[in-house]
Amino acid sequence: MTQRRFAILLGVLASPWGWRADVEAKSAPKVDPAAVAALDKMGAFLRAQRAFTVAAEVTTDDVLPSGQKVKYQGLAELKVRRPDRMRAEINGDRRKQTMFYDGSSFTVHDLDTNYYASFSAPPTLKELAEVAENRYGIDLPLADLFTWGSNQNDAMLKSAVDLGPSTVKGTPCRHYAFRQNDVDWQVWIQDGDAPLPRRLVITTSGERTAPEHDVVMSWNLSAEFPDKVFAFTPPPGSAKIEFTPVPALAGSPKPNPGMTAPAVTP
Amino acid sequence: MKTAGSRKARWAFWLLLALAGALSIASPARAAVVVRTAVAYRPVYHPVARTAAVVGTAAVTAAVVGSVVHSLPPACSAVVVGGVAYQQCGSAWYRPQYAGTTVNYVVVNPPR
Repeated sequence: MTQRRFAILLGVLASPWGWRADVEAKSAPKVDPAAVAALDKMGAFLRAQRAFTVAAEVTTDDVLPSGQKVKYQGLAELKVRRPDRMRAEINGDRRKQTMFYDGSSFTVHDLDTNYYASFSAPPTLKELAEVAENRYGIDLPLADLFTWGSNQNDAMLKSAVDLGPSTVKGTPCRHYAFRQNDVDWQVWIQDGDAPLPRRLVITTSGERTAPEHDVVMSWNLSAEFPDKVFAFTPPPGSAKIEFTPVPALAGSPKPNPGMTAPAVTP
Repeated sequence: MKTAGSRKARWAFWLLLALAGALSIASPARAAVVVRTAVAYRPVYHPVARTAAVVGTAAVTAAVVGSVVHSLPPACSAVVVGGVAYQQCGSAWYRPQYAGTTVNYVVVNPPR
């Protein structure tokens, strides 16, 4: 408390015309428990869905070498059958790919090059997300859907605010804003008894240009999928290649010794 | 007169050198921009693995064995040797690989 008072005093001394706003900002609750509860409720609802399709309109910022910030866009469709099946179709400006997870292996197929690669995968989607990220540097599309609302994530929140009612594509929602160490993010959660995320905006606050990733989602919760939806069959003319493992970090596995690269001499 | 002039020139030289040095420090090579696409907690974070190893396009880079390029020069043909997929572009050979979800190409010695 003394530190906070001292900070307020400093603020008042430094900017006498802004003292009121400063005091108000400092006295506002940092983490609104109701906003966190809304997040947990959404996470619990998502985890309770056995099979679903989510179609996402995705816009992601990038920064050109000139420093200009630009937007790339695309569509992603995710078919999920818990606990161990997923298929993702990504049709974006910069990549057109399909990903398959059949409970024992994960495959990514790039439609532009017609190359595919697979790794043997853990038995659940949540573990798959971790292995894909940490060992292969692959962010599963909408990876948050598989981890959301766990206590571990709640502990990362430095700020949680309820911004009130909003509408996403005609659907009434409530708008929340959260801050973590390296990202600011907003979620629009559907009103009513199906608290689905309808829009997600992630701002990479650590980057000078604060690039954003914006996802608008449409849901189908009554989907039924046969196994073959999640099975990869190499298309004609495709060729199998390898993943280059993420460079060795403390505690992470060594690069794959089974890579069939020919000997390389300098 | 002559000494004063050369002293001035020397001063100007050092001043310019210092300025150039300061500028080069002030504008380091642009690091790749990382855009987070998930808010979930990430215990390890390694953007370097995805971008730093890539040196450019094959068209402008000499085919140094072991170097990695984003795109191939024109007129390549896909060849499979011993079950491994390659791209042969004239005398240069490339082995495609996934780095994350990006396909890039490692310059290799001719496999045959």
